[in-house]
Amino acid sequence: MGTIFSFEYMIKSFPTLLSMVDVTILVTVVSEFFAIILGCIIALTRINAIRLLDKVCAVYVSFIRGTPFLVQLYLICFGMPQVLNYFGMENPRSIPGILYVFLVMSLHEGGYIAEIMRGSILAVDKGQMEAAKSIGMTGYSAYTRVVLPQAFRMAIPALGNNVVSTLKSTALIFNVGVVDMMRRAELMGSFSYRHLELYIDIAVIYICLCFLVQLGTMMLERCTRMKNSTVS
Amino acid sequence: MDNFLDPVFLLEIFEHLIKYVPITLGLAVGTMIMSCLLALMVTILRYKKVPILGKIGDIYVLLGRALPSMILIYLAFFGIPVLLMAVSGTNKSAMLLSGIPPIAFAALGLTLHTGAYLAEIFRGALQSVNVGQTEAELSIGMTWNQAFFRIILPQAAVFATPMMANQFLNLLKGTSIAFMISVIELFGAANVLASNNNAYLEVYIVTACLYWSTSICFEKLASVLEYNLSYFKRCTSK
Repeated sequence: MGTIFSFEYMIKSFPTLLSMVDVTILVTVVSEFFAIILGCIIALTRINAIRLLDKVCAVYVSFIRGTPFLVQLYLICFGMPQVLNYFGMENPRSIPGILYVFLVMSLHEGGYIAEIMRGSILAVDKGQMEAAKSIGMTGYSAYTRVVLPQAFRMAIPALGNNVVSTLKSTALIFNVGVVDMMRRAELMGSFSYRHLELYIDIAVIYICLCFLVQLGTMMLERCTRMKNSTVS
Repeated sequence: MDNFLDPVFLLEIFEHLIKYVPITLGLAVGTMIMSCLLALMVTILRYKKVPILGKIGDIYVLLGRALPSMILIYLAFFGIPVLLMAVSGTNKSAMLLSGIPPIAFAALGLTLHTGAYLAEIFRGALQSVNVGQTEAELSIGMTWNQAFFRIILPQAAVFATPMMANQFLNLLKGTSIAFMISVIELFGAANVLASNNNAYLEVYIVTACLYWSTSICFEKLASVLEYNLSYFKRCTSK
């Protein structure tokens, strides 16, 4: 080990690590997409107090919020193959790890988004729903056309925070065998013994990603607000 | 493993793992105390707009919130030895550092992470205290320090409590990341147990239940605390 901190190595390895950023983005986008759908379903179930199902949803949300993400990740990624094996699947390990990661991340973020959506649906004025019903809309179209669009607009800042936290949880998925930036840094670090430089690279990439998400959230917020002001 | 989810086996795992709950709790509570102090310092620097230090505080909060806690822990674990080597110019201090248990690095990384979040919470709480309060104290001749610590902080603390409790629950769950730098806390112990017995499902179910029950206990505690602290708010709103 010649120098203590090699700036050159940090610059040199940056493109290699950046080339793995697609895994991080893919996992974030896919799981956030499914999480929003799941979150809306859970939120609507709890608001409409569907018998028994809303109790199940309440326990689900409590479980997701009460246990660490890592435990959920390990539970699904290592426990699920065991369950599949028990139910007679031949070779559950052949399923690629990233599918399990999609599942865990969607379930995890879904639990949090359910609470966000529940808050913002309840924040939509009650009169909106009544008005929609009174002009003969069915419950389904009243929700999809009137209530949910308004709820989403209110939920944008909170959802943006949620995307950032999803993005940051992706730093953990390399634990279950998905090759992403963290895994690549670990492999490169065990050759060069320069962990610090590599992790600083990753930190820079994460900061840029978080910044982009925040920028996107702010722009989305501004767009939706302008639409609102022209209507009223 | 001939029996799927054997209750006797689950109980055995439970008895083994419950011994590690105090370690996780200790790590969480210790980190929380340190990050409260750190956040308080950063908040005062930003609140008083101290020339350079206030800006450093801003940058710290920005970075602390943008970085995954995993990366902060790694930076603490791998970075501090390098930093010490750079300062002293020899390998000796690195040798000294190897005597420090990894749990200290985990606590440091988590403190940096939680401190940034708490600093934002404290800032919000301070803003929610009426500006007139400070003016009133200064006008009756209190020094800034007296005014801040006797009048402003106690009021801000009431606003901050629910969010601090939330942050503590996040931290409690965040301690599971410490196993990455070979700390044997609840999750680390669960990993060892799982790979020794080749029983992942059972072990992680028990681990999840332990974390879940701990979180629920603290949630209840927080709501009791919040109710008691909000006494003056309830009185004034009547």
